[in-house]
Amino acid sequence: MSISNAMQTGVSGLLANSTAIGSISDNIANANTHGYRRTFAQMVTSSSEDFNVTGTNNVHAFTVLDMSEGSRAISSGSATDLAITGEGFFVVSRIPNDPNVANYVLTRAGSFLPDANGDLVNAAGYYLAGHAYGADGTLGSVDQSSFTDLTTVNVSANLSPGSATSDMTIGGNLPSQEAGVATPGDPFTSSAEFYSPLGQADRIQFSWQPTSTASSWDLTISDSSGNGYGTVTVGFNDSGPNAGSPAVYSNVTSTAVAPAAFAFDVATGAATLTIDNGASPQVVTVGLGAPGAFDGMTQFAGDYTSLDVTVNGSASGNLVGTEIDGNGNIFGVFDNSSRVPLFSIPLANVANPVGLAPSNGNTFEFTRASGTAQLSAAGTSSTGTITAGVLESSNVEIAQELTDLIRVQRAYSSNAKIITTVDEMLDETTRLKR
Amino acid sequence: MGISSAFVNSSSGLSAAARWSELTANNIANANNQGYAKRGLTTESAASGGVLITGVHREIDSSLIRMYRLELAGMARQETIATELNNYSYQLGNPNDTFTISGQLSGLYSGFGLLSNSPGDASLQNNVLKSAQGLASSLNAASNALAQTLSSVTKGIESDVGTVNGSLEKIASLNNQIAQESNPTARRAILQDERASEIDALAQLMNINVSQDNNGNMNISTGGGTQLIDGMSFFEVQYDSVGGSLSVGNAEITPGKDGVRGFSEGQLAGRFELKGEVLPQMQLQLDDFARALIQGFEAADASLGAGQAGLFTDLGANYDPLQFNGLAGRISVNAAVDPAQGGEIWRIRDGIGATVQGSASDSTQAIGFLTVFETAQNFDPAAGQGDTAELMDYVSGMVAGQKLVQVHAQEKQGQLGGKVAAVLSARQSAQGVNLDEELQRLTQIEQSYAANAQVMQSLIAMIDTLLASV
Repeated sequence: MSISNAMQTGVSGLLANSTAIGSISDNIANANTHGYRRTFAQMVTSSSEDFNVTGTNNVHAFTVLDMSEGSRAISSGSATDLAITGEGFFVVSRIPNDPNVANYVLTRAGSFLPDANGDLVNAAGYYLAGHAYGADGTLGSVDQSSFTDLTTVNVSANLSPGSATSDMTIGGNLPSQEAGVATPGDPFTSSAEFYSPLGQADRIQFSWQPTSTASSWDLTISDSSGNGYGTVTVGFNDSGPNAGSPAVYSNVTSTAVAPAAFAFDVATGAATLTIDNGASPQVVTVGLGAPGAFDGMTQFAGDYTSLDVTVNGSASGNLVGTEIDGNGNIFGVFDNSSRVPLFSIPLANVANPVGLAPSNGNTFEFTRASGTAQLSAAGTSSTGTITAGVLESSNVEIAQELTDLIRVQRAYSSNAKIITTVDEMLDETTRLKR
Repeated sequence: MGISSAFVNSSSGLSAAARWSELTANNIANANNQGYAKRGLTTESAASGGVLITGVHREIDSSLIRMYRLELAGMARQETIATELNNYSYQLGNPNDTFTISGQLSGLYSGFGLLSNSPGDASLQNNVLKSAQGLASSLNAASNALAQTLSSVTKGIESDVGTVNGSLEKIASLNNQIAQESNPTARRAILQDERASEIDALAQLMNINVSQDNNGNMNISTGGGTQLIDGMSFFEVQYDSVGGSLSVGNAEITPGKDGVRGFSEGQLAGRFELKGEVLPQMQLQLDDFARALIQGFEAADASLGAGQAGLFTDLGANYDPLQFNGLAGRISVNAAVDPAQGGEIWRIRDGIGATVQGSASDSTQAIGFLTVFETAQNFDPAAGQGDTAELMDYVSGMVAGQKLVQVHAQEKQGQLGGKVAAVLSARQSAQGVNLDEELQRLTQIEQSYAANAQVMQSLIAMIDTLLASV
């Protein structure tokens, strides 16, 4: 340890503290930047062992990212403003549908709005990437460990092509007091909507005719113009623990004219209709409820309730709006009141988020230290959930920055004092010789 | 996290209070709006601090709404019956009034009584003629009033069916619009208000079952279970004016018909009840009474030849069973006794078929005519007044019975009206705006706003202290 070392240490202190003040000024400047992550200077000793002198400890400042979550600011209500609660980053690219996976970066800034082409872009000009849903309403197999399957999220797709119905289940109650009377009344008729492969809405009619036998009904299934597919007699349990549920399906009769067809599985209570509406007919399975189960048709005393129909497929329609759920699925709302998933916004996780390098436009770039990204849907495994209509604020705490500022300023002056003191001491030393 | 987060939190508190005050102001502004369901704000605490507004909800009680619609349909049916019969009921008058059917009939009876004592008195003969003409014309008037009621009921059915279809179309399209507004927004609440009023209007026309599916659609079927609205599709109600039946697609829903899955209450059901049962029954009673009059005086008149019309005629002709329908509208006094139509007034004493004037003191025929009133006549039991009765009894029974239909409907309307009012007031207090509550809430909002603002002020002071020490 010597005077010259002391000078050197003082200089290192000045340098380190000026780095620290740089971080603080960054933080205060970006206190209101959405999705900003504060940095701070971590002071580290560095001893010079070259001179074989012990006890020399210079200081060095490393800038470290603070990845703790920012607080929320309630946005002005734009439905495409997104905030992540929990871990994870949005994957964005500078140009829409960038084919080069190396150009994708991460961000927490979710102030997305559609641009002229309907692509969602944030205030910094980065386009949001997601996985597109197929026409069948599923994502299919997407590569979760690379960005190759990502496309830019676009909300301008103005026509949903629709998809064909393959499954339908119906539920409802038949009034038990109507069956088993000497002259049963008219049938109870309801119809249910299904969708052709061209996305056209059509209807299947269900006509429940009470019979003069108690708890026995004749079901006739026909198309919208009244052409029958077939009939089946449905007997309901009138006692026991399953009273009210279907007991037995019998007398299956097909009245369909080829190429239309009708089949019925008495064990599961499912009718299979072959609908003649194209070169290759559409096949729809209609579940009425298995014998002994209460998930389909029931027969209790009371009113006839209109059928509660669950049907897959969708009609074609025009897009009127979008909705985003907590799992990052963007649903298109169409004018036929159907909701179709358009995109899934995956969140990216890296092994070491602190190792990411902050870059232009609130983004973070991958570094060797950060590790590679792993995509997963929001709300699954360790990733956070997405809230629409909300923005995440920066994680800068002004009070903390100001107190740091005081501390750093004092440290800087102290280091400067060391230098002037050492300078004076050296001056004393040089004045020893006249 | 600290002061910065505290800033964000209290600003979220401020904006929630502002939003809340907006809703409260809207509630107060709509306090007198019948179809308005009061709005509430749903908020949740955000995971990382602050308060999050998740939506606007309508405060409704669905069981009260269901009860209200059911009672409303019942009342509307009785109200329709009472209102439509009002005019006819005035026409019938009270059993003791002079210029009503029963008054004229008793006038005729006493006229013949007097005539039998002094058969030669021309003024008494004239009196009988006047009473007979009065009876015929009041029967004609009653029959006309009934026909007018029928035509008004038929027109009412046609216009009601149009209203039902308009309503169904509107509800289906509102279903569609509401499904597109999936989040509980203020706009969605307005659309739901509109849909609820529209369904209330439909419930007044017919009793309906309303169920909500998981897309928020209101699916509607008739009380008997015939589907009217499924999501955004609606099924038009068709009225067959020839057959007098209502149907939806292939399913018949005519009210009052056995075995069909229609409806039994509501304005439309009331009109069908009038058209199908009440009015035809009343017409039958009138016609049957007219027939008894014509036939009674034909039988009591010894001077008549075969096929000759008696004192009362079917537009000048004798009674023809094939021409029974609408007889009450056509009954008239034989022109042979009316001097104004070239007849001779003495035929009242001597019989309608008499060719020469008889002795002025001969009261045989006048006494014969009196027997029409004093012996029981045969009536059609289908008219609901028994198979034999004296004319006076029949008429007073008929008038009282017919008036009773209206009075009964009015009474029931009053009873159900009380129920409707009770349920409505319960519904209003559940979903309507309570000004006291809203004003109380306003104070709460004021406090919450002030508290949040105070937090902010303190935060600013804290930062200022820090800045002063840098």
